[in-house]
Amino acid sequence: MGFKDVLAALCMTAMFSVTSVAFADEGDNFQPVSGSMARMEVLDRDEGDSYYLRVFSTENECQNLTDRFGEDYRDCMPIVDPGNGNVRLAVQVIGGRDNSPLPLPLRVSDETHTVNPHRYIKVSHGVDDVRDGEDNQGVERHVEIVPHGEVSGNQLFVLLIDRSPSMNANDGGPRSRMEKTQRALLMDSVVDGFFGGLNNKVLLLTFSNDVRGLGGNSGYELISDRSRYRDLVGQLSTGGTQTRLYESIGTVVDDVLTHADVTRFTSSGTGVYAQVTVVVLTDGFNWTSSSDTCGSNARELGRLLRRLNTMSNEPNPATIYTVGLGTEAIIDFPWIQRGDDAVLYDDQVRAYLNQPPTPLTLCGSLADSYIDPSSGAGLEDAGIDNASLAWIAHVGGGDTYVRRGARQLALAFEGAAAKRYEWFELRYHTDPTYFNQSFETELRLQAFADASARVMFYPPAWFGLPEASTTDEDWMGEPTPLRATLGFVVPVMGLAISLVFVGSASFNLRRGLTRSRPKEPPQPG
Amino acid sequence: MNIRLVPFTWARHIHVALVTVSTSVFCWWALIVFVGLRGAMWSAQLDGPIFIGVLSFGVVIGGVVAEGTLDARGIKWWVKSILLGALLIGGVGAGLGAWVANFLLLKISSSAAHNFEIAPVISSIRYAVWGFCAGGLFTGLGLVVVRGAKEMFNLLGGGLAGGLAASVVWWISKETYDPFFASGLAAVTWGGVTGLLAWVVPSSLYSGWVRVLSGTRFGWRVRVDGDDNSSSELVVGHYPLGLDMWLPANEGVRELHLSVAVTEDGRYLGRGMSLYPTVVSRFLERVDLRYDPEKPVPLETPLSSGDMITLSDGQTGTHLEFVMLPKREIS
Repeated sequence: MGFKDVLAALCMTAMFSVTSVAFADEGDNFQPVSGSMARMEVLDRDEGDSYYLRVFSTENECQNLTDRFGEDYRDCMPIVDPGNGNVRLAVQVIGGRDNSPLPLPLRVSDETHTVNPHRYIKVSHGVDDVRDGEDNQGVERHVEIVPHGEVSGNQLFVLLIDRSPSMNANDGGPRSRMEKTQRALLMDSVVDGFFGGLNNKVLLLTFSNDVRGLGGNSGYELISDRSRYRDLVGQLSTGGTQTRLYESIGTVVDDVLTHADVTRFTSSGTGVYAQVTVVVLTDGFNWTSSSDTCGSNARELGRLLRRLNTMSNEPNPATIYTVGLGTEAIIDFPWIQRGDDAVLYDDQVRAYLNQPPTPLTLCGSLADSYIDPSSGAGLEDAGIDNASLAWIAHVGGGDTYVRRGARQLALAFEGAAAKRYEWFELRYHTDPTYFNQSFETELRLQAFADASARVMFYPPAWFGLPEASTTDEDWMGEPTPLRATLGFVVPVMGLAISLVFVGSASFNLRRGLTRSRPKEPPQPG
Repeated sequence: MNIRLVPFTWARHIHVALVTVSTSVFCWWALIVFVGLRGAMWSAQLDGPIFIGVLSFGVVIGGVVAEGTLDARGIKWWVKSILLGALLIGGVGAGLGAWVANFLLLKISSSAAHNFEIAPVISSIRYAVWGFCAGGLFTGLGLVVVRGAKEMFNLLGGGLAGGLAASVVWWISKETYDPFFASGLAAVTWGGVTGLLAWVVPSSLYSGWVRVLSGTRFGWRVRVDGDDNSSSELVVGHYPLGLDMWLPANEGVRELHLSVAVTEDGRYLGRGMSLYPTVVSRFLERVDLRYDPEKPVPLETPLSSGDMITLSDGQTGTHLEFVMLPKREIS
């Protein structure tokens, strides 16, 4: 064999390598999942969707994302751990006019310091919906959202305050409802929440027979100054004769948010939008005349909800929170038995609120009850329309609160002024046996906008890296470091090397123990 | 690999396997570390061929190390064996063979393609075994380049059996463990089975010796083999002239008492040349080689390492031992 043969061999090797790479490029578009032999493929989104969920799959994408927030890109990298049945994905909502990220006001619980994932996203692993709790086979499942990329940019809070005459009522206390509202709005924690960002603004509106702005001469004043905000909150007063709740919200969405004074801020020339949060506060029912019943409101509420539904697909949709000042008038709404499975209950409530309201589903047995009859007590005397508020908040992507005192009211406003996050980690755990085959994970946003993503995962078939180590407390676990692979290699090679010596050692030992010793030579004669 | 550490016992049957296990496991580990650091940079379809190619390369490189160190080969042989035998045939060839096997299987069988697509991890072994077999054949071919065509069928069979055994172990263990352990155990199995079946440390690397175990000449030893590896004979007795191993008569040794010969094909024989007791004893066996005057030729028995030979005149005697020692030990 000469030098030419060696050269030919090297050429063939190179040719095979090139062919392999070519096949690799043509064969599929799978992205390797770092730290594992699994691969993933983010499937094409449905055409025509205004919003979609972007799933990050490469180191470059993650570095570009996390560098903006000074975060560790490794928090963004996808993880697939077939041995433990865990998946982690970094997700961002994208859409609008210029396909920009939509920061989400993910609410972190004060008690558990976690985000309730089922509020925001639905996860399907194959055909199996992944939810906290055990599945039919008793396998524990988990879903978790870890918010990242806190947005410190522009936010506009639109406060739509009920100024109907009922706000003068004091409910037996020293202060009227309007005064309680003012106290709550002026608390430091609430003011900090509204003006916490770099360039946040507040628009103060009141509604009764119509919608009116506070401040501003002919248009709307977007308040960026805390002292001006305090001044204007102090000017809140009652007036009007009706409570046109639905119409007022519609007016805010259709007229106020599209007014030039507002859009100058929310859709600035740079293309960076100010996120809009609408906080609606009322103390009763939608009411225009004494003949209004709870059930008669269903038609108009349905119209508003349809409008809000279309808004969620528009650029920069507003998030709507509803705050009721008082007690719930429609007891036990939505009349779904609350069992031990909180996630199941949430799902059922969500499914209930996804249907258009009817007099029966809105009010139950109170459908024919008058809200504020010309004589005698009506529903408004019993409390507030918690059903309508829940429906509006659900479709508006926000949350609903029913509170009585100023302090509780302040907490509701703080919740509405939640921080927004530009991306989040979605972690889930399900039965590891599902990971023996390729699987599709579907993510669907449950609030804010209609957005989804589908990701195919291909687990390793021939060889793989060691499984991640997990504990009961930390089910997601940590990837096993590469040095742990020595735990297999060193014993095997150590045994092989030891056996090399065992052969000669046992040979020498046996000879030493069994061979005869030299004898004295026989004596002559 | 050091021939001095390989006694002429059962150990020489497993030493090559120990080396091939070590190298195949090391190559598998290198692949795992590479993937851990850089990720799988290739198509998912190439996972199997690359895995099989790397294991096969590891086994053949073990063969190169074993053969090269035992036989003290020259640099040219090392270059040829590593590039052609291990890298091109054992590594790239095995990977290519596995890829072609998988490719043909997926073309022929739509069910295989479907199963590989939706559930590669739990696919039946009948889909994966062809890739392992192809890889095993290339392992054998690589070893043929390393060792020569003389033992071609042994080497091809050993490689094929190694690939087959690896596929079975891989398939069973991935049901129980994860792909990491399954692939590691496949590396151990491939190296172990091929190393055990393909070849042992050859007897040509050893030479026979007769060693005195008693009397005044205790510890003295004489080599049976000549310098040219041809047939040779060593005569033991107390005749004063021309003997290869002279032992005192008063220690029970007659003039021409025993002959120990090596044939051209490397077999060792003990021949009794005296009417006095000449006994070869080994585990559960005693052979009396005392010369029978009624027969025209002396009695002879094959000798193997560790056989004890007792020469006696009826009153006293001398104990000898036949032992195989590495040639390089005394050169």
